[in-house]
Parts: sequence; structure tokens; C-alpha cells
Amino acid sequence: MIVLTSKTKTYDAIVVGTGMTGGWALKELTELGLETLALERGRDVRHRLDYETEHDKPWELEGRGRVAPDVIADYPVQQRTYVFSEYTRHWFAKDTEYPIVEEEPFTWVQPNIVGGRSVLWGRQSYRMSPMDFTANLEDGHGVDWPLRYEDLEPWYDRVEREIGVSGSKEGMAQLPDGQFLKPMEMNALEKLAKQRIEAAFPDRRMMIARTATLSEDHRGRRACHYCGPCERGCSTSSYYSTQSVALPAARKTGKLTLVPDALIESVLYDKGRNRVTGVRVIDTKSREVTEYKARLVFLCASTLGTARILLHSKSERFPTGLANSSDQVGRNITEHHARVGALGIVEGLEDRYYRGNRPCGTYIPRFRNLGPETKHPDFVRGYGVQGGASRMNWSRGQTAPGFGAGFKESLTRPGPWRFMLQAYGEMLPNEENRCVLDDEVQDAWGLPALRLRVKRGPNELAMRKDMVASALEMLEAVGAKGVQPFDLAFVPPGTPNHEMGTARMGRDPKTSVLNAFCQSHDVPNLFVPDASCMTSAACQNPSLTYMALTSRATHYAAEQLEKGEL
Amino acid sequence: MNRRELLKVIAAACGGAVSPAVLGALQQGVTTQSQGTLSPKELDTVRALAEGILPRTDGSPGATDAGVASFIDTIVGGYLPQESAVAFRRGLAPLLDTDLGDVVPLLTRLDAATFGDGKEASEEEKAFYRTLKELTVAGYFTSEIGQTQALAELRPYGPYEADVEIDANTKAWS
Repeated sequence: MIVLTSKTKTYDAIVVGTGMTGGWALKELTELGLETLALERGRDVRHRLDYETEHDKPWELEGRGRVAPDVIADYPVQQRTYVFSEYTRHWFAKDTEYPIVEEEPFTWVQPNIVGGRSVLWGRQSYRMSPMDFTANLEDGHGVDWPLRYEDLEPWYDRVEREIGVSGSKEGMAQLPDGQFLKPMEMNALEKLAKQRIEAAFPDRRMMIARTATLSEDHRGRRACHYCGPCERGCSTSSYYSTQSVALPAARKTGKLTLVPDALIESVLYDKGRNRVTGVRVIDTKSREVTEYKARLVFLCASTLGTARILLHSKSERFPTGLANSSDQVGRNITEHHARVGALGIVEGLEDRYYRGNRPCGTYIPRFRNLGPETKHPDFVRGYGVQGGASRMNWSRGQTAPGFGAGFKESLTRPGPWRFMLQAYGEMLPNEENRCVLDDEVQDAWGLPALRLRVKRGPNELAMRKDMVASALEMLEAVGAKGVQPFDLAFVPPGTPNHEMGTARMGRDPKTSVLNAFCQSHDVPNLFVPDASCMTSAACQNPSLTYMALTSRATHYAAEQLEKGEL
Repeated sequence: MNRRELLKVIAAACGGAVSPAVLGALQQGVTTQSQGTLSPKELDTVRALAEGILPRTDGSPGATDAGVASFIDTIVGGYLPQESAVAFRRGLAPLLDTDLGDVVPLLTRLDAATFGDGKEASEEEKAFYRTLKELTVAGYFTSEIGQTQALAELRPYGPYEADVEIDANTKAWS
């Protein structure tokens, strides 16, 4: 590879990726006073100016949201995520440019923009609990987390205060409370369902989801206006994204340089000093290659993106990839297995409705394997149950009998109430669930594609049976009719968009990649605070935890740099 | 509820709020290929049947007013999975000689066979009608007329009201 430009400036820190953790890292580092270079593979997306479909009406698009066939041919994997539509497809990488090899079916959702997944995330924000950090130690799957809940608690506080998380305090050991804005409100059926579920199952609690969407004005940002499709971007900054919070804060410091269209070829390593010295970047537009230097490197390219960079950064010292003396890079891919639950119709409440599209549903925190009395005989760990109630809309008419004036008239009215529950379960860490660099397939810039081999194991399969059964019994308790259980096993792992674990933290450098500060055991000035660092998945939506770990890692790194340790 | 319907409902639940108009558009992982536009005769038949499904009334405009036939032409021609588009035209072919002045007998027969316990329709006709109905309803309620006149537009955007009392005349949000 011919390097055309080698920049002479040495930054304090390089952050690779600007999504859920990269955005947060560049904010934290610049606020800590570090000259920071943020590199993003995707194109720039400016806050407000580039949310081109934000409040578009369906009739303004030819396919009314359907993606044209000649376009969809470029997105065979991306189209599997619920977020992908004609309103959002401009956020995604073309699979034809960034292919993957699915040895087993796997959906790698690849946004390709400044802001990454923070622009289109589901925004649910839960803390992991003390029992999640000791789970590996207790049941022997994976390796022990090198930190405990108490170590992360102040960082959760910090992130929640800054980004704004709405939610209710519940005092539950398995889902610690945090620094919340006022909770969003349940609708009429959700309130009724809560009463009935909690009466029938004293071990279960139904609450409104905790979401990083503002229920009230917060730090100069406006409360949500409940328009609905958050994933198109939000001009009122009402949900957390890199654009709405992190970039404005970082820019205020004057310490940020942001370079989009910058694909990382590899991380540069100096064997003599045992330090990374910077990164080599391919400009995706000009194909020019540039090297940037820094004292610290933070990889925040998403768990698969980061694994690909590490595996491709080979050297004499690290022949199988940077910081991979443990051979754990790319292994232990885990996620939340979902698309399993039940739904049904609830009669009554015809005179109740709501106004606005609330950007969250309801949540029933984990109730299995919390202690001896809730131990399940067939599986370890647990699952949370997301859900919610709404009145069916006009689309019910697409598959219903009838036609004519009365049929049309009925579809202009709110339909029956439907209540749905969908479980999100913890997938156990397993070294065999891994990605490697493919020998043949390459991306459009000549870098090797990832070959993915991720399969659910017996614990997940046993858990899924219980997920269906408990969703069914709760719908029955609510009084739903025509209850339909579902277990969409055909939906590939990765589709829920929560994959993690390719560079796990641990206590032993022989069996883990990172220490408790997301710092490489092998190379002290290399940090990986993105989803890669996760030692286990728990069952809570993970982004809040990634961000708390990022805060902790950046503060530690800045301190160590100051002390001259790095 | 079929698999596609179920995926739509789940999609709505995943992100929290997805406006109903978007839900109509959720796709499956299928390859598609342009099937060309409908012939004038096919289009006339589709227009008449769509108007029969969602006719103009005192309360709101109908499928023709909302341009539903043209929408169906676009979707069948360029967006449907190839086999669905082919099946649509195959099922439509024997219906092209229908008296378009009165489509009620035909709709009665097709609707009963496709969504009820009627027996008097071929598999081809049922496949056609299933798609016709799905697209007629989607095309109408995602049109400007459907969204702003048949349904109530959520404007201005504002605070969420979790529990609102309504009566039998309240329109659904678009």
C-alpha cells in the first residue's frame, strides 16, 4: 500500500468511529482537554441540515416507504433490520461495498454515517445490575468481568445526567434505578395490563421503558414532540445522538478534528516502544492513503468493525492481529436473542385513545434466575420482556374481510386494542461464536471482509421456550383474545442490533483482550471501549453500558497520559 | 396473521413508535425485478375494483380520488417480489371482461373466497385479490387524501397524551 500522506501533527487521541461510543469518547476526551481526531468511515451527516426525510409524508415517496428493487439489490443484509426503509436507507452502508460472509446467517447492521447507530438506535437505556457483573463467575460461562457494578455506577450517573434518560424509579435489584427525567406515561390498556400482570405474577413488574428521549426540556434541548419516526434524525435534539449532544459539546472545546469518509486500514504499532502510534486511513472517495499519529488510540468502530481492524493490523509482534496475544479477538460474539413472544387483542376500552407517537414501549425486567426461588430448571441467566399496547390502525384492513362504504368507514376509526410482548434474552459467551478475516471476499477498498459464524446454543433455545410460555401466560392474565405466540427462529442473530464481545475484558491477559478500563492488556495506549469489550451480554439494551464504560475508559486514559504512564 | 404482518407488528414494537404510514411499507428479504406497467385494460379493472373496496362517500373521498390504481401500477410494476407481481397479473387476466359498471357481485365472490368461507374462486383469483386488497388499503391510507381527509393528521406535533377519551365519531391518527 502506497502511503501518500503522513501527517506530521501528533494528536493526543484518535477515536475511530463516531457512533454510540465513538461519539461519546470524542466528547469526553475533548472536554478532558485532549486534542482529538475523530475518524469516521461513513459520510458526514450534519445535525438538522441532513435529516432529509425527517417529517416527510408517505405520499411524497414513490413507493410510500418501500425501497425500489434496483436499490435494494445493494442492501440484501441491511434490509433485514426494521429500521431500513426508503426513509432511512441513506444511513446504511451498501452490502455490495461492505460485504460479509455468512458462514451461518448473521445480520450486521452497518450504518455508514457520522453518528453511526446513535442516529437510528432504539434508545432504550438500562443499567446492568450487580448480578450481571458476577454471572460469568457464578455459572462458569465466559470469563469473570474485571469490574463490578459499583465501579461503573458513577459513570452511569454521569451519562444519564448528560444525555437525558426518561424513566421511573422501581427499586429493583436486577435493574438499578438511575438519574431519570420524568417517565413517559402508559396508555389505558398498558395501565390495565400492568395491574393484571402484577396481580397474577407477584414476581413481575411492568414499567414504562427507560429511553434516551427527552420527556422534558433538558440542558438546552427540547422535549420530544412525539412525531414518531426518530430514526430519520431529530432536529429538536430530543433524543441522544452524536449529533445532538456529543459533537456540539466537543466543538465547544475547540479540541476536535472530525474527518469523515475515513476507512481504517490498520492501526500502526511500534514494537520497540510497544505502543500504537496512530492509524492508516483510506479516503473512501479519493482512495488516498493517509497516516495519522496520536498518543492514544480508541477503537469505537462497533464490535465487528473493531474486530476487523484489529485482525487486519498484523505485525511481527502480533501476527494474528493487534493486541491478540490471547487469541480472543473476534471471538465470544454474543447478542440478545429476540423476535420471540406473543400478542393478542384485548376487547373493551373502546372510548380510550391517545395522542402522539410515544417513542418507547413498556418493559418487564428480568424475573428468572434472580436467586434460588426464581431459578429455572432449564437455563441460566434471563430475559427482559419489551412490549406495549396500541389501537390497531388502518393496516388491519389489508387482511380483513369486507369492502365498500362501511368497510372504509370502519378503517378511519381507531381499531381494537392490541397488546404485544417480545422477549430479549441473554446469549451466553462462547469462544466458537466468532468472526475471522475472509481469504477471498474484500470490501470495495480491497480490505478483507469478515466471515461470521455465530449460532445460538442450547441455553438460548431452552430460554426461548420459556419466553414464549411466559409471554402467553401474561397475555392470558391481561385477558387477551386470539393470542398468537411467535418464535421467529429464522431471523438471524445480529438482527436486533445488539452484537458485542469480540475483544472482551477480563482479569487474565491470557484469556481476555482488555482490562477493566477497556485498555489492551498487550498495548497500553490502545483502548477499546465499544461493544467489543463486553465480557457478557446481560439482557438489557446495552448502549448505556457501553457509554458508561467509555466515560470510565476515557477518564482513566487521560489520567494515565497526564502521569506519563502511556 | 401471516409472517409479514407479524414482522410489521414487531417492527413497530422494536423502535417504540413507528408511525402507521411507515408500517405499511415494511419489506421482506426478496429480490424484485421490474414487471412493466399495467395495460390500460388492466388499469381500468384495478381502478374499478379499488373504488369498489374503498368507494367515495359523504364522509371522505374514494380510492379513485386518491389515485390508488396508479399507486398499484407502480408497486406491481416495480416493487413487488417477482412471483407476487406475476401472480397478480395471472389472477387479474380472467377478470378483464367484468362489467365494470357493477363490481359488487365480483367483489362479494372474491372477498368471501379469500377472507371468508366462500369457495367460488380459483387460487389465482385469490392471490390476485389478496394483493389487490392489501395495496388498495395501503395506497389509499398513505395517500395525501387518506392521511389528511380520511384519517386525522397529527398536527401540530405536541405533547403526548396517554389517555384520551373518544367517541364513535373520532377518527384514527394517520
